[in-house]
Amino acid sequence: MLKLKTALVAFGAAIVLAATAGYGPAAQAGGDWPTDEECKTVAKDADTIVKGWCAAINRKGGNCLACHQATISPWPEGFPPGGNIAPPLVAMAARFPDRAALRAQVWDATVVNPTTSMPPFGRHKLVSEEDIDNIVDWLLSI
Amino acid sequence: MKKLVSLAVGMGMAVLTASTAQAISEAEINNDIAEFQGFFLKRFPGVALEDYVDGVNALPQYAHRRANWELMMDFPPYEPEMEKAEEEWSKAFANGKGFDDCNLAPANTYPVYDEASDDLRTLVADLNACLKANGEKPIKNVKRGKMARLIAHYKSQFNDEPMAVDFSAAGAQAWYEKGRQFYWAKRGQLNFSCANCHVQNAGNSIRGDVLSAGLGHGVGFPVYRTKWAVAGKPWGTMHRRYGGCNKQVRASPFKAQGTEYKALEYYEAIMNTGVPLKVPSQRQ
Repeated sequence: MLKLKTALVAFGAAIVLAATAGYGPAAQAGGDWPTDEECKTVAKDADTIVKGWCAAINRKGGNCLACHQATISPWPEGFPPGGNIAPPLVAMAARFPDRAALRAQVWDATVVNPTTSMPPFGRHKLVSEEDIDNIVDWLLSI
Repeated sequence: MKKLVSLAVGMGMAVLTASTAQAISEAEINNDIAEFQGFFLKRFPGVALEDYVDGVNALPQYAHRRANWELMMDFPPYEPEMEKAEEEWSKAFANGKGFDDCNLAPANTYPVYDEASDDLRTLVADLNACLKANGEKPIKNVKRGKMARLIAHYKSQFNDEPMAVDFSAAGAQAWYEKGRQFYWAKRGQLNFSCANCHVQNAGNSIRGDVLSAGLGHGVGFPVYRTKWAVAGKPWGTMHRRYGGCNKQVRASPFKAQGTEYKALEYYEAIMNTGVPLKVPSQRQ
């Protein structure tokens, strides 16, 4: 019986820890995550996290969700799901304690893995330096 | 000094390997085929070599959409177009001859390497050469429309024949190597090789779409594509598709029937050795 209690407490603690560490789907502080269309008006005076999200979902920007799934909540209505080519974007802050390493990965993933399918967003100027910073801010928030 | 010598030796070795890498033997190509096909057969157990003829529709990751495609195939959208193709094929030239008199190779053996000109003969090139030889005007648009319909008509007579492209000549092997380099080299602003998507990520989802397997590419071409049909030009040859693919990775497309795409078509045809023809095909 004691064993079960301990197990339950441990399980509960794990959930709390996971939630506080941001392992659950990430909510957006200022409300719902904007859709691509809403980004056109919202992004101008938004914080860097929302700006990063907008740059990440734009097909002409990062288009990150073409290959990655992201754990955000609530998922924008009618928004297509992410692809499964690349690892899901989850627990990013825990996986990348070093911000510079994450930024370098977005800037040019071929440095770490030459045969990666991930486009070198910075090196090939697919996304501006400013938007790469914004995307990294967004990534570290989810 | 010792360092410099070893550096020079190293460089000499590099040059040597680079120059020998240019030539590829028939045995190595056969090895490539086994490796390429083996990769997919292992990745998608239960999908047999001949199943790849259906392109993305053959993959288990596409199963949820296959029923839809099969329903469409009950009354294929290209059927009226194939009647038109037959009419165009049967129309006699001014000199009384016709396409049936053209000296064409079996459809499952294209592209054909021509030793005399050290060039690849595609079916497109052969049809235009035949028109010219008979005093007719060659067809200018080699990416869609009439040319695609004529090829569809000719190739459809060889359906179920397994691909069997010859690469025994040394010159042919050089063309193969050119195509292989193209297939595996990264290009465009997005930095994708053909293989990044159609080998490494075949069957994976890019947003809501499933990436097709490289095995099976080309055996259904020319295709009747729903996306192209919306714009009123449903037919496309391999080289039309290559151009579209290059644009999607934000690279400048090469010329249809130019050196690059001929070599790529040759490489893909050889990788599909043994896969049967199924022309035309519908693609989304």
